[in-house]
Amino acid sequence: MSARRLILLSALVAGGPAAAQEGGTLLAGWAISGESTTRAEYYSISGNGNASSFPDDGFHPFTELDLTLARRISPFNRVTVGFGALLNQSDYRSAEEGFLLERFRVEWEKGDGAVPFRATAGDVFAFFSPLTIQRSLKGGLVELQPTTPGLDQSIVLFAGLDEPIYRNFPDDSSIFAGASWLVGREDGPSLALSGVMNWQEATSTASQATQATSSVAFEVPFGLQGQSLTLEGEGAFFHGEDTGLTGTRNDLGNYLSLRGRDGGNRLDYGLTFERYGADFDPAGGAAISDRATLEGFTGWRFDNGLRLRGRLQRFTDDLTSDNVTITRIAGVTLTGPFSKANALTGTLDAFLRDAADENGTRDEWSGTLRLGLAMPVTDQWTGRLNLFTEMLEDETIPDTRITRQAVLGASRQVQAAGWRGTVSPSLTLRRVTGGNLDSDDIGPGIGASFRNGNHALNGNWRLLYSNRRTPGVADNLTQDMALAWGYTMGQHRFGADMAYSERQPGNAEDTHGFRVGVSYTLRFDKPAAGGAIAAGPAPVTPDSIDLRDLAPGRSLAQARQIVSFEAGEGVSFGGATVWDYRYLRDIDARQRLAVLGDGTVVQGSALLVDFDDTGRPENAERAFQRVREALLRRYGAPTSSTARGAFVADLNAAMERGEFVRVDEWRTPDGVMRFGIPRRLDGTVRMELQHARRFGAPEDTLWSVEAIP
Amino acid sequence: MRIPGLLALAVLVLLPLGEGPADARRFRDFQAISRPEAAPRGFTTVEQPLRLPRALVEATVRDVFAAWSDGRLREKLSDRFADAERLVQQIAISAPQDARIRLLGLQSINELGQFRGDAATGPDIIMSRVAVVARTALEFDDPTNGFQRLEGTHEYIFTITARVKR
Repeated sequence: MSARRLILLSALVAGGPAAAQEGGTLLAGWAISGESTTRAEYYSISGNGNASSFPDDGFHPFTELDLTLARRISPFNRVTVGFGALLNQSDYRSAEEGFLLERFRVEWEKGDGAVPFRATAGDVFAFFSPLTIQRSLKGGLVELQPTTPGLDQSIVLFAGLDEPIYRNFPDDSSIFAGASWLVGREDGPSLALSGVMNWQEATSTASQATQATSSVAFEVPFGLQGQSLTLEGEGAFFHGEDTGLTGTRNDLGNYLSLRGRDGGNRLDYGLTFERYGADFDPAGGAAISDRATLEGFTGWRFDNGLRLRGRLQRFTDDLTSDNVTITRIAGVTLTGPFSKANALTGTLDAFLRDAADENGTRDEWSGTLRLGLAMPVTDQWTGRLNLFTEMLEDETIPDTRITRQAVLGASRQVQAAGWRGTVSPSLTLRRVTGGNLDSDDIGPGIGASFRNGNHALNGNWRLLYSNRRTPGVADNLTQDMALAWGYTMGQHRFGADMAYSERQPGNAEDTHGFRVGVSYTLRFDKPAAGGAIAAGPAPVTPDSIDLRDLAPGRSLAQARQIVSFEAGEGVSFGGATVWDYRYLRDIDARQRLAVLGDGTVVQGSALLVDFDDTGRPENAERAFQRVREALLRRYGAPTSSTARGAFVADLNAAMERGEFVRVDEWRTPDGVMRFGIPRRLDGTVRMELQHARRFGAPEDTLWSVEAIP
Repeated sequence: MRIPGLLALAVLVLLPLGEGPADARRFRDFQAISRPEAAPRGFTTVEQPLRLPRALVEATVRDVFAAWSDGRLREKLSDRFADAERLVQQIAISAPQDARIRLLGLQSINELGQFRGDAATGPDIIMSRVAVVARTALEFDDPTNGFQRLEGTHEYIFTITARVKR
């Protein structure tokens, strides 16, 4: 494809909405919002190309369009159409070349008919439960809500293909179809009956298979001795037929949970039991076969907002085999304001883990301590300290590996020559002993985030020198540098960025990778003619914090007050206030809440969730799934969902290469809530849930809150 | 038709929104599709709702806050209010005796549905359900820390029944 065609599409994309704005009656009743981006990147690689973060050199351009059209026919009748298209010549942006429809979705919701319904076609998110289905599909979904006095009823039917893009659907696509009936009373008990089918044609790696999973799920809230309790459970039956070796399989998956809290909302606690048989393997679900889990937790909120939580977990893997593996975890977490007088906030997480199998091929235990602190040191400086220590003892070798790490960082607000922002130097010190590798690592770094009117400038430099003390293992030095500039002029945004990475192993050839990119984005919003959409109820101060209430456009002082009431005083990082706060109660990783905005109005808000371990892909994926499930439980099925690529050891590099995307979005009255793993200039990999007016295309992975290290 | 000089007949207060979001259940939840509310007995749905005067809504809010402060909240709560007795009991236990709620300002008034009385009820009777977002301050004197004021923003859902003056 020629660059000329790219430019032509850009012109069409730019001209289309403008024509609509100029009064075409065809779209007069529609509110249109969207953006198009044309981006060109040039890559240069020298030295050992196999060790480069950038696999392809040369010129890589693309143009993408993200568009949403909404029509509100009446307060109870509305239609929404959204799509994302790509014209691609970049090996990084997509494996497919040419024109590509990446996302498409039409939703019609009508509440004033005999039976209120919601019908969706295109990209649908089928979600009944983690035991049955929880998956983004290309197909159709219909939800009916028959009106029955005093009862909530919902019937969902769906069918779709498990494919990432709208092109060349293969003959061996995995097909899902399902139905679910939910009945319940508001604040009362509820019951769901669900069934899901899956058909998989034979592929080069798998035989033809058919599956059916059916489940009964219930939830019963009740009160006892001043405690608010909820009993929840699900029992699922799996039936699978396979033309290959596994043949016919039948098995059960069960889940039962009791959780509660006291009337004053200070104490909360819960107990969960799960058991999934060896043959319980629903293709669309998220259950781990042949595993039993017993988990208990209890938490206490102190007067000053500090939260203490203890947990006990026991996982039994390979449950039905002759060699059962048992993993036990005991941990405590303390989160929130450690000292109100010094505005010191942080998270302390300590846990012991023991894992052993019956045959003695695995027998290890580990102790982990993680401490993250932040505190304003002066009016200008905010200090950060992260300490991590882990002792891992493998009794089978035997061997003891000890990792000690300290990251000392600071952020200073800077204002000069019209620029305002934050400079954040940091120093990482790490010592690893045992495990066949003794190493002393030192890593200085500095990040900066600045604004001047419509200009935005972000930069980052980091170096890591590893002094290998193990004989025969070479030292290593890596260096990464990134710079991004953006200029917004009304609905136009111009950007330029560069990235440089260098790797100097002591015993091999050096590698240098360089990328430079330029981009142009056009954003457009056309309200529907004939009256604005009536505003929903204004945000509300809840008893617990919810990102939906920290919406863009609301009073910044009020938003900070809402969070401070629950989480104590926050710490300022440039244009953001940050709190250590356990937003998702089931998640033990460090969580920080941020309200963004340095004037009087909230620009956005964010939840930042650290990974405990991104070095091991399976651990990172498990942590991501756990957070995602907590969000699905809270916010329901996302409006759109994009997942590309598998979890790998270096996620940041994979995102840099365009090989990894994880984004879920929920539309809100005030904008969009997005959850996923964004790419950061400083290379840190973490999960973020953000509430903002809008975002770029999911494939543009550089959407992190850069100002907060 | 205009509604100046409405005469408020009765005010029934419904729920301040429920408790905060715990990490909820694992299986799918009910996400209601917006639908017109069924008319109560003796009323028919008004297709084009009339706008309630702000002064009437404000007076209603003040009336309810006064009832809260005087320990008369129960009489303002709707029969449909979930666990009304427990709420009143909890307030009696946890709120200081001299606590008062002050209305700082009304942020928004959204009409959720409106119904007109039938021939038997009286066609000049209008029943409206409104969602009101109000800025409030809870004030009391703490024996140790002195005067305390806790500001907040809350949504309340009211049913306001009024007679339309022709």
